[in-house]
Amino acid sequence: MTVNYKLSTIFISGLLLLLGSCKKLIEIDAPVDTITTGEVFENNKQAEWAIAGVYSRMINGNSATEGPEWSIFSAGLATMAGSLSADDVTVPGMNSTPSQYVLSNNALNPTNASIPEKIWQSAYKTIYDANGVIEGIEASESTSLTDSARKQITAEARAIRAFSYFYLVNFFGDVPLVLTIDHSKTKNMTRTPKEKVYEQIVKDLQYAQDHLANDFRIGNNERIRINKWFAEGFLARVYLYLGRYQDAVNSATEVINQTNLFKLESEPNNVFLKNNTEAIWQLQQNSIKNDRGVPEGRMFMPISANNTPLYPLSEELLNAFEPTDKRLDQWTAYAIEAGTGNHMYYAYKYKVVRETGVPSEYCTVLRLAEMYLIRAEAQIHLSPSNVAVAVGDLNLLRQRANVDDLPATLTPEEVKEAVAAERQRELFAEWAHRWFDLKRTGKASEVLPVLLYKQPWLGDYQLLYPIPVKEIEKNNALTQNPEYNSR
Amino acid sequence: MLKNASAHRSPGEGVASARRSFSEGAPSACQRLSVGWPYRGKLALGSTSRKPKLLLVMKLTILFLTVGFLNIHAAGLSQQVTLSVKDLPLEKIFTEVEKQTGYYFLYSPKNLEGIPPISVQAKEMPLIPFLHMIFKDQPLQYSIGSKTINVYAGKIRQPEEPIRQLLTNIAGTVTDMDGAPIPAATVAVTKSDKGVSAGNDGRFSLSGIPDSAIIEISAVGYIPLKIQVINNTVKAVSSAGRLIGRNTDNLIIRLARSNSPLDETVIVAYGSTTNRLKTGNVSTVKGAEIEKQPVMTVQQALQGRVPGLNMTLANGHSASPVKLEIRGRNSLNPKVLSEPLIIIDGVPITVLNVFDLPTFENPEPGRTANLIQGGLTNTDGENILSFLNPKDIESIDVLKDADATAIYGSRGSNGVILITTKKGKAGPTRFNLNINRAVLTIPRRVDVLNTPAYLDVRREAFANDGIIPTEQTAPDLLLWDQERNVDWQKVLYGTGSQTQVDAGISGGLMNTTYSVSASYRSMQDLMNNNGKNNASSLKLNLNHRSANQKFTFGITSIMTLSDVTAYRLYNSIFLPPNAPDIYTPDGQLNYIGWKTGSMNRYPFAGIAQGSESKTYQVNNSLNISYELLKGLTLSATGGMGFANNSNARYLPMRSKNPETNPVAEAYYGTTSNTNWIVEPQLRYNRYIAQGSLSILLGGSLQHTITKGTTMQGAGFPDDNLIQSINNAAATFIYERLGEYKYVAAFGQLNYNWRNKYIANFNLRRDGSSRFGPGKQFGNFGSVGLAWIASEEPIIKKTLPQWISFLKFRGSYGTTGGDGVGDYQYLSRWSININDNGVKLPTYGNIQGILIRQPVNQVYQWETTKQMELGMDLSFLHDKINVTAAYYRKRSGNQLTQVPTPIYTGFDNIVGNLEALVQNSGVEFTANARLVQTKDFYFAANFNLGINRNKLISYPRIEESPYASTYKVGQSLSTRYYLHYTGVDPLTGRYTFEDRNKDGSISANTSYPPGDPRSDLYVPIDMNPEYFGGFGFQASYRQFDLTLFFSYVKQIGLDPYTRLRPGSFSNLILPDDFVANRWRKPGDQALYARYSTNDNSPIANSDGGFTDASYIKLNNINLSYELPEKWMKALTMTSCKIRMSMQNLFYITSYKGPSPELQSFTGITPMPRIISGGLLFNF
Repeated sequence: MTVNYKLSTIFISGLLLLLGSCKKLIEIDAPVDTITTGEVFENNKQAEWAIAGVYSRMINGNSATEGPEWSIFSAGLATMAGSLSADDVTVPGMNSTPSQYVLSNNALNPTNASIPEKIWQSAYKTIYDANGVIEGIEASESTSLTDSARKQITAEARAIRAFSYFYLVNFFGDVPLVLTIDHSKTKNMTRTPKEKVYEQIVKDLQYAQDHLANDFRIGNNERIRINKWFAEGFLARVYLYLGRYQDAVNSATEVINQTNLFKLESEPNNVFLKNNTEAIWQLQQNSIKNDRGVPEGRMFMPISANNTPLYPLSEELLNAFEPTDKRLDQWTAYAIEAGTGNHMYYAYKYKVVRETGVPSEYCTVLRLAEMYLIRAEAQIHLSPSNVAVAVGDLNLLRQRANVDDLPATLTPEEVKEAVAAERQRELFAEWAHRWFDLKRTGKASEVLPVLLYKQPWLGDYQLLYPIPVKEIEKNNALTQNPEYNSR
Repeated sequence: MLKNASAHRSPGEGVASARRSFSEGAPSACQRLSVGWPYRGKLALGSTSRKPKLLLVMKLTILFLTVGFLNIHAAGLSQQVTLSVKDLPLEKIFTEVEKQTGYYFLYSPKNLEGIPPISVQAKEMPLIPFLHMIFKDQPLQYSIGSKTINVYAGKIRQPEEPIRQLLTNIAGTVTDMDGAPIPAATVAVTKSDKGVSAGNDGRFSLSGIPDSAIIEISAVGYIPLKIQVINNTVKAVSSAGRLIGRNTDNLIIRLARSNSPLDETVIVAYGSTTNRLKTGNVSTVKGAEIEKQPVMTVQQALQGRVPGLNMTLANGHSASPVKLEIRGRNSLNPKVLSEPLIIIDGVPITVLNVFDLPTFENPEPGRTANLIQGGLTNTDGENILSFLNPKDIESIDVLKDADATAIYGSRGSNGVILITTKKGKAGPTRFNLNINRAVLTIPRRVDVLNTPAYLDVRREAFANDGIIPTEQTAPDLLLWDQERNVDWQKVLYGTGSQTQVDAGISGGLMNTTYSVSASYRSMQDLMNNNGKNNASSLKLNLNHRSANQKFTFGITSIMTLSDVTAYRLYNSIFLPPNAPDIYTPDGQLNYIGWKTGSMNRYPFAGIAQGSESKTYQVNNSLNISYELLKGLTLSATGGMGFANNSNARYLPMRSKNPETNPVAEAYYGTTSNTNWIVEPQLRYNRYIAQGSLSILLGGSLQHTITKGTTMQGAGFPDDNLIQSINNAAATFIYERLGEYKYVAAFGQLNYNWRNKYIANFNLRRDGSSRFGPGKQFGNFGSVGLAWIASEEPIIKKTLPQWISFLKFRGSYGTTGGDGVGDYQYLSRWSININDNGVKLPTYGNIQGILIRQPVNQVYQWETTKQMELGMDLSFLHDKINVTAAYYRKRSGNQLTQVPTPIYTGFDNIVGNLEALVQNSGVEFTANARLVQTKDFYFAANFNLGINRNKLISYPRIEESPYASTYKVGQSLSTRYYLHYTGVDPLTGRYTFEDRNKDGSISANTSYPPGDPRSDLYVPIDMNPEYFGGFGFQASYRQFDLTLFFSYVKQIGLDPYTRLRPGSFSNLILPDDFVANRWRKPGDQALYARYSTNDNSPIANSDGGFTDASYIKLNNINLSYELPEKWMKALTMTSCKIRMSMQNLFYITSYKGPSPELQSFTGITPMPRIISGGLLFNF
C-alpha cells in the first residue's frame, strides 16, 4: 500500500509538474525556413541582409510573375504614373490598358485608380520594411550587432522611409504617417497633414545625413547604397519643395562641392550607366533570371524592333528641345509605326531592355544634375539678384547638352521659366519630376488642361490621386481626396 | 460476572482467549464502525484538508472490521432456530438456543432480573433475526462472538443496531460469461448506502452486509445480477448471469451481456459507456455494418449512418480525400479545416495543412485533411484514412455535443470520431479468411442525344443565332462523320474491378490475446486506362493482463502500403457524339483528328497525364494501465504515426499537341508526416452514496510535424526520361512545413446515482503552439446531465407499460479552436518572396531578407459554445428505441484573417473577429428490432439530421474581405444569384430581374449581397436541407439480408440550364425541354432557344438550380451461412457466402449525371460496386 501511495504521489506531482511546465511543452522549434526578428538582428551580417532586403524589394518587387515596373513605385511605377499624369508621355489611344489611359487622360476616379493604388501599396510596403529594420535594431540587445552598424543601417532605413513618404505626399497629399510595424497602433489612424509628414521626412534625412558615411564604401564603391550625400541631396529637393530656399541652396552646394565623388558626365549617354560620376544613389536591379534591364528601360522601350513604344513621348516635350540638344539625340529614340510610317519617339535614357550577365545600367534615383537645378531655382527665389549664379548652374547642364548658354541678363521671372524648362528637358520621364514640378509651381492647372490628349479636362482635383477605396473601407477614419467621392 | 462462563466453557483455551480478545475488541470495533461510516461519506465529498489522515483511519477501520468479522465467519453463523414457546423466561430461551445452535450466551443474571417471560414463534429462523426478535423490547444489548452471544445491560438504541452488528462480508470476482474480469462493476446492497466498485481485475469485497439483504452486481453493458446472503451462504435471486460458488469469500459472479440496444457499448472519450447511461450525444456505427460495405475507405462507409455527419466527396476516386463535417461549419475562414478529430485506438490522426493549394479545385468552403502536402495528383490529394482497412474496424463512435467532445478541448470543436479496431479475443486460435471480388460500373448514365438529334439542335442553334457554320465553329456539322454516334460515357467509363483478401489469426488465453490480420485491397479504375488503387496492410494487436489482473497493456500496430494511379478527364462525357476518336489508328493521341482550322479542341490530354501516388503509413498505439489501489488506476496511452507519400504527375510530350512544340513536364511531391501523442491518466472509481463515482485526471501531449516538398521539372528530352527529375532541363523545388504542439490537462467527473441521475463534468486546459506568448492556453469545460425518468418509481407507475425506457439529457459546454495554421504569431523573415520558394534577389551581392507575415501576438482561442437537449425513449421491452436531440452551437471570437489597411504593411492579419456563427439543428434516430425469434429476425433503422447554419453577427462585415460572400442572417454556404424571370418571347433568351433598375443585368459578385450596384440578391444555399439514412435487416436461419439507403434533400446545379443546347457539346435534352423550347418570336416558352453563343448568366441565377435531392441505395448485402454439419465435415467453424452491392442506384428527379457529385466537368464518378465474397473461419 505504501508503495502505491508513493506511486500515486509521484504521479500526481508529475501531473502538476507537467501542468507547471506546460509552456515548455508547447514550445515548437522556430520554422526552419524563416528566422525571427531577434535572430535577424543578432549580428551585423544578418542586419545587412535585412537592409539589403529593403533595397531589393524596392527595385525587384515582390512578385515572381509581375514585373516590378508594373507594381513598385520605386521600380518605375512612380516614373510611369508621373510621366503619364504630366505631359512627358502619352498613351496611344484606348489601345493601352485603361489604368494607364485614365492617368494620361485626366479620367481618374476611385474605381479605376489601380496604378495609384499600387503606388500606395508599394510605398507603404517599403516603409513597413524600413520600419521593420529600424524597430528590429532598436529591440536588439545583441552585442554582436555593433553600434556603428546599428547607426548606419538605421540611417539607411530612415532615408528610405523619408524617400517613400516624399512620393506618397506628392501623389496623395495628406497620408497616414506610419512609423511602426505594429498594426494595432496604426490601423485606425487618420491622414497626417502633409506638413507633419514633411517634418518627419526632414528629420529622417537629417538623421541619415548625421550617421552615414561620406563615401561609397558600404556599397563596395558601387553607388547602390544610400550614403550621406544622398541624404543631403534629397534634403535639398525636400527643402526646395518646402520653399526653404536657403537650406536648399546649402544642401545642394554641399553635394556639388564633393567634387572628388561627383561631377557631371561629359555625355548624356553616360548619365544612366551604373556608378557614373553623376549618380548620387542608384538602385541595382536584379532578378531570378538575371536578364533584366532597368525597369524604366523595359517600360519605355519597345520590347522588340518590330514593336512600337507603349508610351510615346509627347509632342510638347519633343518641341521643348532645341535641335542641337544632345539630350534629344541621346535620350530619345523612335520606332516606326507600321502602316502609318509615323515616328514614335520614346524615352531612351536607359538603353537596355534585357541583358544577361553583369548589367551596364542601374536605376538612377538621384543625380548631380538635379542639384544644379535645385540650386539655381532656390537661388532665384532667394533673391532676384542671384540671376547670374542661377544661370551659371543652368548653363553647366546646357553646355553638356550642347545648347547655347543663357545670358546673365535674364529677369528673375525668366530665370524661373528657364529653370522649369531645363528641368522638363533634363528630368523628363524620370521619377515624376515633371508632374511634381508642375504641381508645386502651380503651373499644372495652366499647362495640362489645354493639352489635346487630356480632353475633356475633368478637373484639377486629379492633381492628387485618390486614396485607395479599399483603404477607406477598412479604415473609416481615412478621408478621400476632394471631389473623388462625387465621381 | 461471567456466571455461565465455567458451565459452558468452550473446548479449548484458544477459544476462550479468542473470546476474551473479542469481548474487548468488539465494542471498540463497534465504536469505530459508528465513527467510520459517517466519515466515509464526508471523504467522498472531498474534505481536502483532512484527506490523507482520514483515508488512513478509514483503511485501518476497514482492516479491523475485516479481521473482526473474519472471526465470526470462521465460527460460522449458519444456525437456525425453531422454537415455539409461550411465556418462557429469557434464560430458558437462551438454553434452547444454545442447544440448537451451539452458541453460548454470556450474561450476568442480574441483568435479566425483572424481565418478564416472553412468547416466541420461530420456525427455522436464522439466528440473527431470532435474536433481534427476542431482544427487541428488552433493556438489553448483545453482541456475537465466535461461539458466544454476549448479553449485557443497556437500552437497545435502534432496531438496526443488531443488524449492523450481525454483518456478513463477501468477496469475489465479477466476470463476463467467458470468465474475463469486468472492471469497475458495482456491487451494492439494495436499499442501503452500502456498495463498492470492483477493481480492474473484477475483484471486490464488501463487508458488513446485513443478513438476507439483496446485493445487486451491475456493470455497464451487462444485465445486473442480484444475490442474497443468508446465513453465510449466497444464492442468486435473478436469472441472468451466473453465480459460481456459495462461499461468501470467493464468489464468482458472471454477468450476462445485455442484448438491449440500450446496453450496447458506446466508446466515449477515454472510456466507454452505454446508450442507457451516456449523458452526451454519441452515435455508433458497428463494425458489422461497415464490413458489409465493399468500400475502400472508412468515410464512405459512414454515409447516411450518423445523423448530423455530412460527407462530401472531392472526387469519386476511391483514394481521394473525403470531407466529413459534423453539425455544420463553425469557422468563417474558408482556409480552416472543419473536419472532426479522428482518433484511432486512442491516437489522433493529424496531418497539418501546410500546402495552400492541396487540390485542383479547392472545395469551397473549407478544405479536407489530406496526405498529399507536396506535389499534385489527379485524385485531388489522398485520403488520410486510406491506410485503414474498413474490415478491421470494431466500431466507429461519433461524438457530437459538448459533453462528449469537451474533454478533447480545441481538437474536438468540430466533433470527434473514435475508431476502435478489432482486438483479439480469448479462446482457441482462430483463422479467418475473407475473399471478395467486385465489379465496378458507373451507377448512373445520363441520356445524351444521338448524332442526328444532336446535329439538329446545332443547326437550329446556328439558325437562331443567324450565324453560318464554319469549319472553325462547327466541325461537328461540317467536318466530322455525320453517321458516327458515340456515347462518350460508354467510351470513358468502362468496368472496373476490385479484389479484397483479408486473412487473420486471433486467439489467446485468459490473460493474453492476440490478433494478426493482413489484407490486400486492389481496385482497377472505372476509366479504361489502368487507373488503380492498391493497398496492403498488416495489423497486429496484442493485449496482456497480469496474473493478478492489476497490470494490463495492449499494442495495436497498423502498417499499410498503398499505390494509386489515377487519370482525370475534363469536360469529356458531353462531347459531340460524332467527335473523332481518342486515338489515331497507330495509337497516338488524336490531336490531328480534332484539329479544326487553327484551333485544336482535343479534350483527352488527361488520358496520358496520369498521376502516381505511393504511401506508406504506420500507426502504433500502446495502452498501459496499472491498478494502484482498488478503484485507482494509473494508465497511459501512447501513439506514434508515420506517413510518407511520394507522388508524381506527368505531362509527357505525347499528351500535348505536337504542333505546339510541347515540352514534357512533371510534378513530383513528397509528404512526410510524423505524429506522436502521450496521454497519462489517473482514474478513480468508487461507489459512494448509492451511486458510482468516476474521476479521471489526465494530460495530453501531442506533437505533429508535416513536411511537403514539391518539385517541378520541365524540358525532359524524352517522355521515357520523365520519371526522374534528374532528367529535367529546368527544375523548381520548394518545401512547406508545419510543426504543431499541443498540451492539455483535463479532468472528468462522472457520477451515476442508482442509474437514475447521471452527471458528467469535464474541465480542460489546453495549450497550443499556434498562439503567441500569453495566449497559448485556454480553459474549456462542459456539464452533461441525464435523468432516466423511467427509473423513477412515480414515473414508472404513471408511464404506460409499453414504454420501457425514458431518458432526458442535456449538456452545455465550450470547446476551443486554434485552426489558424502554425507560426502565425511569429515574426518571420525569409529570403523567399512567396511560399513557392521564389527568392528575393540579392542586392549588392548581399542576400536580401524580408518580413513575410504581419506580427500579431494577441490573437487567441476561438470559442464554440454548444448546448444540447435530448430525449431517449424505448418501447416494448426496448425493442424500439428512439432518440431525438436538439442542439445549438455558437462559435464566436472567430479566428480568421482580419482585414487591415495595407498601409499597416499587410492587407490582413490573423486575428479574432467578433463574428458569431451558429449551427443549430435536430437529430433523430429510431431503431426497431421488430421480430426476434429463433429463426427469424427483422429490424429497421432510420436517422435524420437537420442543420441550419447562420451568421448571427459580424460587426462591420461591409469592410471585411467577406463582404461580398457572407451576409448576416444567412448561412455561410449561401450565395446570391439573379432572379430568373423566364424566357423572353421575342428573343428566346433567358431574362432576369433588373433589381436595381439600371437597365442592365449585372452579376457582379464583388459587391455585398443585395447591394444596389448589383442585381444579385436571391439567396441559395447548396448545403443539404436535411439528410440521413434508413435500412432494414432481415434474417432467416442462415440467410441474412440488409439494405441501407441514404437520402439528402438539397438544391443542386440544374443540368438543363447549365448545359446550353446548341453549344459545342452534347447534352441531356429531355422531351420536356425539346417540346417547350423557344422556336420563334412570340413563343411563350419554358426554355431558351438553342444557341451556339448564348452567354446568358443563367448559371448566376436561381434558374440555374434545381432540386437535387435523392435517395440512394447505398448497400445491399445478402449472406448465407453454410450449415454447421457441413462445416464439421470441412473442419471449419463457419463459412459464409456474401454478396454485397454499393451505390446501387439513385431515386431522384435530378437529371444530371450524379446528384451527389454535381459536376459537368467529368470528374471520376462514384462507382457502383457489385461484390461477391466468401468468409471462412477455422
